[in-house]
Amino acid sequence: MNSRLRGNLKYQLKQNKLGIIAVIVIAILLIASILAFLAPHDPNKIDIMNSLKSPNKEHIFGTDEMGRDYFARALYGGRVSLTVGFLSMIISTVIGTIVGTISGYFGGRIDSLIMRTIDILMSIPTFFLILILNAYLKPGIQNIIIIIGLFSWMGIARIVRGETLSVKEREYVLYSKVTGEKSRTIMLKHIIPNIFPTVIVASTLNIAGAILTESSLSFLGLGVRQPDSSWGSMLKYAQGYIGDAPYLALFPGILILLTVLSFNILGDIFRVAFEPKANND
Amino acid sequence: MVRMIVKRVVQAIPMLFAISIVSFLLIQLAPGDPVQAYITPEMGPAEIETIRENMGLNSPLHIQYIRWLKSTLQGDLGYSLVNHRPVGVQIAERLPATLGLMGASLITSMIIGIIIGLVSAANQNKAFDNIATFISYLGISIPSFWFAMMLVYVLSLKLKLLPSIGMRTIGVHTTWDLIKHGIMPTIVLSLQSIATIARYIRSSTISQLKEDYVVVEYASGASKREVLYKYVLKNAILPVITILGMSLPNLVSGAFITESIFGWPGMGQLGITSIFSYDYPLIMAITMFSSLILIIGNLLSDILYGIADPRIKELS
Repeated sequence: MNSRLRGNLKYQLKQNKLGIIAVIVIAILLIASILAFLAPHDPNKIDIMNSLKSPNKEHIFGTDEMGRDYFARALYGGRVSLTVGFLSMIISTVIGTIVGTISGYFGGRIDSLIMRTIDILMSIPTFFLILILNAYLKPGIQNIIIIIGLFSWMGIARIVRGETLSVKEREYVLYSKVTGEKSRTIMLKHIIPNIFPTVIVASTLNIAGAILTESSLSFLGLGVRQPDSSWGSMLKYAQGYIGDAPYLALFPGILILLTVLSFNILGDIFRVAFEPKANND
Repeated sequence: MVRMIVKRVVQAIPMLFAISIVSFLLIQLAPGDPVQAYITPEMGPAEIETIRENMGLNSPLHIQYIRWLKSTLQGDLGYSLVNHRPVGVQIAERLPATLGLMGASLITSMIIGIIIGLVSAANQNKAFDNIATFISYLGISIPSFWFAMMLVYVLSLKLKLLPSIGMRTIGVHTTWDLIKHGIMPTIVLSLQSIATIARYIRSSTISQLKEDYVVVEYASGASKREVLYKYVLKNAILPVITILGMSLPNLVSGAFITESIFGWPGMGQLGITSIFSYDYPLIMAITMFSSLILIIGNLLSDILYGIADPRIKELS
C-alpha cells in the first residue's frame, strides 16, 4: 500500500467518526474473544439452582437455562463467530483473487468460461446449498468455515477481474510482457500488488457477510452445534425462552449486529480511501 | 426489443442445465442410501437389490441424470421420501405463499427505499440524511432472524398486536387476518432490500443533481422540489430496476429464514424441513425452483431495463 493511500485512509478515519467507533468496536471484540479465558466464570459450568437469572452484579449478562454464565458464553461464542468470519473470508479472498486475476489477465475463452461459471453460481441460492452441505457433512467448525468460504468468493472474483482488466494495460505490465517475464510472475509481482487495496475493501465486507451467514446457519441448527457455541447458536436456544428471559436473545444479537455493522462501516471507509473517485458524495 | 428478449431467454437455457446438474449432483453427494426409505426389516438382500434396480440406482451416473432430466421436464419431480406425496404437488401448494411474501416485500422495499433515498439526497449531509444512512447500515448488518425475534417479542408477546406464527388463524378466512399475519414477515424480508435500494437511490440522485440539465432547470427558474420530482427522479430511478434483480438473491435466501421463523407455509419453510428430514427429491426440486425464480427475476429486470432505457437496445 503506498503512502498516498495510507494518507487517504488516515484522513477518512479522522473525518468519519463512525469509522473510529467501528475500529474501536472491532478491537474490543477481538481482544475480548482472545482473552475470553480471563472471564470470571467457566462458560460450561452448569448450575441448575441459578438458571435463567436476569443480568445482575455476579452475572452481568445473566445465566442461561442451565445456569451457565451468559457473559462467559458470549465471549467464547464470539471467538467462534469471529474465527469463522475471518477464516472463511481468507478462503474466499484467496480463491476470488486468483480466479479473478486469471480471468482478467488471460481474457478470451478462459475469461468467458470463468465468468459464465460465476453467473451460474450466483443464480443458485447459495444459502440453501450451504444449508444442504452443512446438513450432509459432519458437523464441525472446520466444515462450516470451508463451506462458507467456498461459496462466497464470486463477488470478489468479479471485482478483481475488473481491476485486472485495467491494470494489465499499464505500461509496466506491458513492459514486463515484452521482456518475456512469465505470466505467473507478472500476475504475482505486478498485478496483484496493484489491486490489493480493492481486495482489502472486498474482503472486509466479506467478513461481515460470512459472520451473518454463520449466525443464520447456527440459528437454524445447521451451523455451529453443541458442544461448540457461537452467537448464532446461542440465539437458537434463546428463542425458546424469549418470553421469560428476553435478555438471552438480546445480548448475542446485539454483539452480531455490532460486529457486522463495524465491518460494513470499515469496508466503506476503505473504499472511499482507496478509490476516491468511487464515492465523492 | 423482441430480439433482445429472445436472446436473453436463450442465454438462460444453458444456465438452467448447469443448475439442473448441480441439483442432481446434490443427491449423489448425500450420505446414506436412498433405498433406505423403502426398506422394511423383513426384506432380504435380493428384494433390496430389486428395489435398487427398479429405482434405477444401478445405472451409470450420466444415464441416471438423463432419466431424471426427462421425467423432470415432463413435470414428474418424484415423490417425497417422507410423506410419499408428489413433489410437484407439494411445491405447487407452497409457491403462492412464497411468491406473495416476496412480492409484498419487493413492493414495500421499492416504495420505502426510493422515498428514503430521494429525501436523503435532497437533504445531503443534514440530519435526515445522516440518520437514514446510519439506519441503512443497520439494515444491511442486522441478522434477519434476530430482528424477527425482537419484532415477535415486542409486537406479539408484549403489545399483542400481531400474530407471531402462520399465515391464517384457523377458521378465520378474512383478508385482514392474512394481512395481519403477513406484516412481520414482510418487514423482516424487506429490511435489507430497503437499505440497499435507499443507498443506491441516494447516490444516483446525488450524481444526477450535478448534471448539466439540473443546472439549466434551476437557471430557468424551477424550484428545488420541481427539479427533484419532475426531472431527477425519472433518471435516478433507472438503477432500481437493476437493483431489483440484485436484491432477488437476498429475497430468496431470506425467504428460507423468514418463513421458518414465522411458520409461513411457503417453499422456504418446506426447504428447511426437507433438509432436516433428508428428503432428497424435495431438496432437489426446491433448489431448482428457487434458482428458477432467480433466473426469471433477472430476465425480467433485464427486459424492463431495456424498455426503460432505449439506449440498451442498441447495445445488445
